[in-house]
Amino acid sequence: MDENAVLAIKKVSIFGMEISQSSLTVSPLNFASFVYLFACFSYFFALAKAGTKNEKFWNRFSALLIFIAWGAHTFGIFGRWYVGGLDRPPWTNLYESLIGFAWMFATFLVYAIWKWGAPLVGAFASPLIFLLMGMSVMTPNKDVEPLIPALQSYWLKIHVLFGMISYAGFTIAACFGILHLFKNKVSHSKIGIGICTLMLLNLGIAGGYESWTMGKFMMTKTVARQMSDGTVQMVADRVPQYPGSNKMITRLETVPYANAFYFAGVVGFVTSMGLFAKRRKKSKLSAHPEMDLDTTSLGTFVFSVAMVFGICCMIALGMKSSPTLTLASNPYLTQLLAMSFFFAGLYLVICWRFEGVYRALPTAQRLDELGYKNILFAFPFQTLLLVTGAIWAKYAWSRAWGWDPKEVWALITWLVYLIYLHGKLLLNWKPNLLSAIAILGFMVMVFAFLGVNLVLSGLHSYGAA
Amino acid sequence: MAAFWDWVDRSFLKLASVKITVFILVGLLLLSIPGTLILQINMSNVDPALEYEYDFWKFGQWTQLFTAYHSFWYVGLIVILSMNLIACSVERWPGMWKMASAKPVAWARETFLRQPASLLHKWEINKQKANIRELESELLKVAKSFSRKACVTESTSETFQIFFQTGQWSRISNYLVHTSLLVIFAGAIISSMYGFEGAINIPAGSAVDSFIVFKEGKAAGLQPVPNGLVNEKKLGFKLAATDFKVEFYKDYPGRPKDFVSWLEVFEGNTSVLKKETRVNDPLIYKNFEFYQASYGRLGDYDIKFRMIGKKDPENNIFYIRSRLNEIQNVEKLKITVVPLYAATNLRGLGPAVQFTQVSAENKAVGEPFWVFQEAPLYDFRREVPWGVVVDEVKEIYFTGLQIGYDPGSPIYWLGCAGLLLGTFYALFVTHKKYFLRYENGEFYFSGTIHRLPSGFEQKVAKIASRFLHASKSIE
Repeated sequence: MDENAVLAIKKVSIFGMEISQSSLTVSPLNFASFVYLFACFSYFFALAKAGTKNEKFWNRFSALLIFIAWGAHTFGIFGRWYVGGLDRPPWTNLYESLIGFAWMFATFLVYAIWKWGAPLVGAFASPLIFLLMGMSVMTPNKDVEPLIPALQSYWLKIHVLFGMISYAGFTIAACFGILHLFKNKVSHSKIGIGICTLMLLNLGIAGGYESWTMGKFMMTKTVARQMSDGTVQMVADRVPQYPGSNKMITRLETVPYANAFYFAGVVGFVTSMGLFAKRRKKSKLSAHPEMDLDTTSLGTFVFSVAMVFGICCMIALGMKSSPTLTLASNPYLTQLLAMSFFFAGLYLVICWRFEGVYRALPTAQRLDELGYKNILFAFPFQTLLLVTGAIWAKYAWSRAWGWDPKEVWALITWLVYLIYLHGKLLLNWKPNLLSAIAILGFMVMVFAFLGVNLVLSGLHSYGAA
Repeated sequence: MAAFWDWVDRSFLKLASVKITVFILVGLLLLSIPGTLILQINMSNVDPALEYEYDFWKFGQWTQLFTAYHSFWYVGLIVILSMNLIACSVERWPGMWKMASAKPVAWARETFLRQPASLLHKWEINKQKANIRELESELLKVAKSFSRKACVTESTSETFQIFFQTGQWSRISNYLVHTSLLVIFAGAIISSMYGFEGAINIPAGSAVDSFIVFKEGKAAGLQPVPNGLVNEKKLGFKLAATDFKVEFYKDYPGRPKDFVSWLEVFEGNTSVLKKETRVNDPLIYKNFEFYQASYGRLGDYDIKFRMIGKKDPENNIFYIRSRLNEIQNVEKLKITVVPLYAATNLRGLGPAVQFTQVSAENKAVGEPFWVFQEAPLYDFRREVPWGVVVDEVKEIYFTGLQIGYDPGSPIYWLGCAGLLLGTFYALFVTHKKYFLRYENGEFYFSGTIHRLPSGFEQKVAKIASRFLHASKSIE
């Protein structure tokens, strides 16, 4: 974030009315985030009630919430466009690319619910949208900032728009991939191993280097800083590495006792992975014997999730005692923990109500086809993203391709889906494998979209917080 | 010798496998990752030699890890990929061509009946009323509205069959994609052989005839500067930045709105080209492309001021233009001053310059004093027979230009265009064939598609209804 950025409340005149910029743009977006959150919870009920007579109600109610949130979201985005002027599309910094991508994805979701008759895809899609929106809510700089010279190009509009379209297509394809794996009766143990891996990845990033080397669970320290317009804002405490250095480092603060829970969680997930992997005797009573889970592995999994909840409790306790410990300067940690709960919750609900969910889903072939269709649609746009990026880079930075990390990761994403398409079209790979690649591709894409800007440094740094 | 050619043939066949392509793609994917995690020479602000420990540095040098994308392993894999692409393309060409140039075929009645019910449309007409040849020509007209190459494939006294197809070239549009990739690689090779990348900082108001090169192709042919830096190369002409201006947004301090360099190219002493160079708008001269990339403060100021004698001020005004620390001697007043510091906005009081008076031996005389541009009479309070009025204080910036020569660019842009066209055509267009058969008053209509059948059933139904109406209207 630009330390000097002013969170000024600017006025916009619409039909003679003076409206503050934030009430026109930020408020509807924040409202949309909360409605998306409710939609997430509503989808939990939709999953739990799948196959019963209440199924339709919960599906419709969740879809209604998604539509409402999407409406507010659209209003907020176009409000930003109105405020910024036609030459400044609402996708120029981190905040805007988060809401923009979430919007494009929500648009795909609305279309999927409306047209493709797979309402349960919302159960996986809505948490992703909420996580993006939640991250945007916690991004400190929400101002409609004017553009720096490098971004004053019409290629900005084209390049980022294509990026959003292709990434949204890949994301919804991954959601269909997950549903397809469930419908195709990939056993809960196998999916459990996948979920545990995701959890460990989450925890690994959340705990970071310090948890493993120093045995401390740390969070970014918050300080109150006076901005140039006189307002005081809570921001991450960043100091030069040594006096006069250009390299800024972030100061961290220990969360008391959290590391014990952290390690218990890590050990728990590793153990439950082992237990999931172990072959169990199949019960003959169940309708889907191959899907049965034993209580030990499931119990260990639940225990581990409880440990993650323990970390959250410790953070809450820490926040009470230390004023410099806040969630405001830790948006990504918060999102990672929230993501853990959403996905663990979805997994457990589906394990619990598998019978109903199985019946409520369209055929496996249809789900596979929907995922494939979206990748087929998104892939040319990813190619366009790469090519328009090269053209713009040529004009702005004097070279078309410079092996900048953002460029390379976009290329890697392209390669993953290229492999998918070759596997699908020429090698007749099994649908399960293809769905797994679609999910993997989604993870690579998330890294290309957010991870590169947050973790690796490069020329696309204006996208960083 | 025969055994050798046999071996070549066999290995060619082995290389022409999509499985190998996928392996190569996975390898390329994995080998792309280290270069994004490890600092690269000439790409990041930090030199990997300073950042990593000696052992890792040595290992990296050995494995070419710090120039990952130009290393033997990465380039080697791309070469293998190209070979595989060529092998696959050559190997598959006959079959693909056959499919793309699919000759019209006639289906037997049984073939129609084997089609899935959703794709088969059947209807009957009163065969006594209709003239079969008239029916045939009318329906062919309808078919021609879908594809100009629609034709009759079978025509007897009892039956006729019409065939038409759309999008057959999507079968070989993957060739366009693959060829385009090779074209892009070729363009990149030419650029890396003959091209170069560099940069230069020019202080506003000065000129340069050399630049610093970062990346230079083996055949770029740049001339080194005698007694210059190691990577300093001659431009062959003179490039002057006559002026530079940076504009900031009013409400966002430190956020540049626009920066412009007024660049001028001199051959010898004659000016040949002038251009306002902005970000996203380069200056191109000969092989060189100059891109506005950055700017910086030089720490120096361009100051315009007046020295005025208090006795007879009307005739004792001396206009002076100076940089910081330049000794300015006014003979007539017998005064020598030096501007020591300057600021475009000194504590909110506007532009100001600090001067000191010096003696003939260049020793400071008295205390240094500040003069503010916005208070022109302020300096006349000092009890000396002269005063200073500051007219303008301008900070001198240097403009940072990226310099590049990219001879492969037309080639790889062509490749990119082909890549896009090919990708969209290959994935958005499908090869659809349609068959219409009439036999003893019965019509059969069906179609096939070479990929994902989504929406195809509706399309077939739509076309079938057109034929239905056409045939009923003749009846």
